[in-house]
Amino acid sequence: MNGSAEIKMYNLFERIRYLKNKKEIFIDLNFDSLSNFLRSYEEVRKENKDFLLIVSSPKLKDLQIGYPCTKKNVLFTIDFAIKSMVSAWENGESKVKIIHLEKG
Amino acid sequence: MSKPSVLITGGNRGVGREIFDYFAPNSLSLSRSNGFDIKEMQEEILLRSLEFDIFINYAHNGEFSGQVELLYALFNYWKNKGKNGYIFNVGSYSSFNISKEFKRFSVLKYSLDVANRQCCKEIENNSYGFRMTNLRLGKLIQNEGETGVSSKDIISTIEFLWKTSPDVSYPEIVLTSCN
Repeated sequence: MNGSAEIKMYNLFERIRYLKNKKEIFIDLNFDSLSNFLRSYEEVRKENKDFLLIVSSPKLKDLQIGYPCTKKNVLFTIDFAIKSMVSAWENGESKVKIIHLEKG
Repeated sequence: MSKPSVLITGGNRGVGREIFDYFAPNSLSLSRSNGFDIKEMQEEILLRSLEFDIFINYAHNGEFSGQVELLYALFNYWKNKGKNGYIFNVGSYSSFNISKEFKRFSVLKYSLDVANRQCCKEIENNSYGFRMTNLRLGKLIQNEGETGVSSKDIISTIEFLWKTSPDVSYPEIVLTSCN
């Protein structure tokens, strides 16, 4: 992706100053990255500049809510969070545009 | 019928305090202000929970590692100990719909909704001695004269559910203002 930067979640906060100069950010989410994801979105949003946030996450389709399980919970919550972020952009409340890619 | 004994997280101020006071002297509040961080002191909280009829999972620390992880830990702990009782999760009406603005609070409460549904599903399919309900609260009354959900509304709901047949499950109750 031209002009974007891929974020490794483990070193996200070390690179946040660098990322704020970019216009596109790619985040590859996994099961243990919910807190980092929310925080990185909030950090980027604070800049109040146009951003494109491309988010990749494991596929949720057809997944049953199932028995108590943190991993599944994180997947459902990420999906809700992304819908909420998209809504914020659509309503002009945020300048961070989201593209959500589901990994099959 | 005497009041059940209650352990509440975050019952040292506001609505949590009013719930704690109502169930006193058979109540205990564990919160940061008395040295019980819900993330750091999880084992101690679980141990103390065995002494009470009701556990109210109220404290919210703004992280996934707070209310949700405590619920998973508590669920497994009570299950393994064969504990009888009732777990109330204090959720939010705000996670019902996607709002026009992004709110971390709503996202984390949604996560609590999911965890509650997962746990209730397992409870319904097994013969555990405890039940669980997610109380999804609308706007709370913060000041006199405001409309919204009060501590009295929450307390009466808890007392009602506590007295219902143990054969009936109430995974979720929504409390919101009519106005």
